Amino acid sequence: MPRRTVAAAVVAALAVVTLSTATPAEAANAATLTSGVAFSYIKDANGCSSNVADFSDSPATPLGFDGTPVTTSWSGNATLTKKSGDTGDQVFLGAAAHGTVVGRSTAGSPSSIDVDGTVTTTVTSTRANSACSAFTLGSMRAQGTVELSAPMLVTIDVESDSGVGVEAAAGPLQVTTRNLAGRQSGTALVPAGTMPFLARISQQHSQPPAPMPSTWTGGAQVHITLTTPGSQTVPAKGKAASYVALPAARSCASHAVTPSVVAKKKKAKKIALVTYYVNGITVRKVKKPKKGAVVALPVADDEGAEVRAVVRLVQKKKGPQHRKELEVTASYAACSG
Amino acid sequence: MPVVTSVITALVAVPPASAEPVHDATLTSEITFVGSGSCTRSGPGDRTVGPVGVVADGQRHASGASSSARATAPSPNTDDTTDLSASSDTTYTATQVAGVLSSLDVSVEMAAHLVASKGAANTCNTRAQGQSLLDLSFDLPAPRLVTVTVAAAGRVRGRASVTDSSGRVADITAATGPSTIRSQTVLPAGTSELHLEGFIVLDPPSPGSPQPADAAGSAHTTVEVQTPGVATSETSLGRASTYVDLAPARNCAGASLAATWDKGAGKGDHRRVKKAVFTVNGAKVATVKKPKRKQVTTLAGLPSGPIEVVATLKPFKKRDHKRNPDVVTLTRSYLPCQ
Repeated sequence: MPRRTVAAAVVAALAVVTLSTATPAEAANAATLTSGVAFSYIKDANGCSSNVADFSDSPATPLGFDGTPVTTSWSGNATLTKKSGDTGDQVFLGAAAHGTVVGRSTAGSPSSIDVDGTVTTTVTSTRANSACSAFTLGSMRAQGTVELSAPMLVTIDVESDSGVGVEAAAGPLQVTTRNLAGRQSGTALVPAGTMPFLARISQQHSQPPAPMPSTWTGGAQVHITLTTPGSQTVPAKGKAASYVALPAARSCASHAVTPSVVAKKKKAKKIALVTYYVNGITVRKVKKPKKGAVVALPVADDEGAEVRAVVRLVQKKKGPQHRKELEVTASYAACSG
Repeated sequence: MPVVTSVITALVAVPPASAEPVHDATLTSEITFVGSGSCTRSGPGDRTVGPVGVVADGQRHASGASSSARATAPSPNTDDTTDLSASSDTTYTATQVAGVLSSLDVSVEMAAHLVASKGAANTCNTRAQGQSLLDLSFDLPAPRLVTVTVAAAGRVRGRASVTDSSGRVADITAATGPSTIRSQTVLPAGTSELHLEGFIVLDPPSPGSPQPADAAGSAHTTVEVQTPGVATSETSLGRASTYVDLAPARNCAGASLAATWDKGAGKGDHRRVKKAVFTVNGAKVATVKKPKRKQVTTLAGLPSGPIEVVATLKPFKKRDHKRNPDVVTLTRSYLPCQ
């Protein structure tokens, strides 16, 4: 295990250097997609030689923020042969990386980046323990910058299986995982300016492959979103929409959402009771509200808010079976991380 | 997923010799003033407090360091001085249940101060740093869901890293808050390690890069150790829980969940529920018609991530039960299995 850990650090460093020199200078709202493979082994006189180059990368594909999926794929195979002594000692390494990225925009500004990557590697050999001390690495990477004209609420979500390592970053949020299945998620309020982002999904596979299978596949997804703080993320919907207006945005300055009762007196008089819920919890009840009545429902800045107004209409007949309740719901982004 | 299974099996096969809730657990606070070049340093200077032992006794413990320094440029420019100070104060509470770490709460308050007499023209180019490092190992008797949340406020960085017994890692960082980041992973039985870090740095002003005289902030980290797949919340609308019970834990190995019909569901000709629909994360997974009491409905093929299960029941209408609502629901959320 220590041997692998050291080797992993070395190859990670090498891969980063190679990839970053291949990337052109990045402009605002610019991103590229690449994938690559690497082969590592002992090269001294008692070590091995390879039939191919140690590193190879796909051409960089530009990523637009127009909703079009962009893909990258790269694969390679290497045959390593011991230089001296037991020249029948051979290792066959194969790596294939594939990635799909979708960038989307809202009103001309990037609003989301969705990255889905898979890597498959194969390690076989003529000897149970080769003197080559070899491993292969396959990776895909999406990297770029987005220009924020105003502070934005940025989220990052990573979900990976135990077959890959992930490096993901969006502004001040960073995630690094190595073969530990799970999920990571973060939120930050990022100031206006240039925000770099990165999603790199990779797999490293050594000889001997155990306890992993000879052919091993892993994958991960990285999602980055950019939302105006406090903006509506799900528009108002429901039968009570004509009785209670849920605002187009929550107020981050006053830490509140302010719904209002319909401005028409005739319609407002039909309302017996309005119950306001924030994230499923009753926050306010208003009996017989006046037309245009506004309430301020407090919401913590670092939470998204699902606001629901349940309107009980004035009953025409007595009895609970004649009770009529309508509701309207809208959701808002958090104001901070 | 045969890969995962084989890995987990391999790990379960090496339980710790003697399990301890936390061990090799230390907290270190460090103040460093970095990079004076040819400048002379005076004052207390770099300071390290710790490593002090960290214990899981459910009590609040505190440790911290603060220091200051002055960097002075060599003669004849001795009026070019930089005054620096920094502090890092950590409080933590580690709790164990039945000899296993159950939760950890760590707060690091950090501050840094820097005044250069020559402003951006200073030549000492010295920065002030404050850091808190908490390391601990913890033993798990069985796989556990470990949720780590780091919240940073102000000009600081908070970082948390979890490493399981075979060197698999999840590492998260939140900086320049308000920002929050969370990691949720199932760690195998055996010894895992946790590394938490709070960090502040204040650079001296330089041409084109002005700096404030003061920076401050906090990094708050929580760690929760839970059994994978257990229920976290339950809401019953219209007394749906009189008809059906959703199990207090899902079956992680079988990717299933049992819903048991109660006495309220009736039997024979007196069944009360016409139809029941079960959804998992909004997708329909099962439909049951006229269930009877003691019947068990198994929801199978569940995803391994967090789930919210909703049972929507349509009770039979009865002439004398006009108050009965049309639809009643039972909602229960469960922790991830992986």
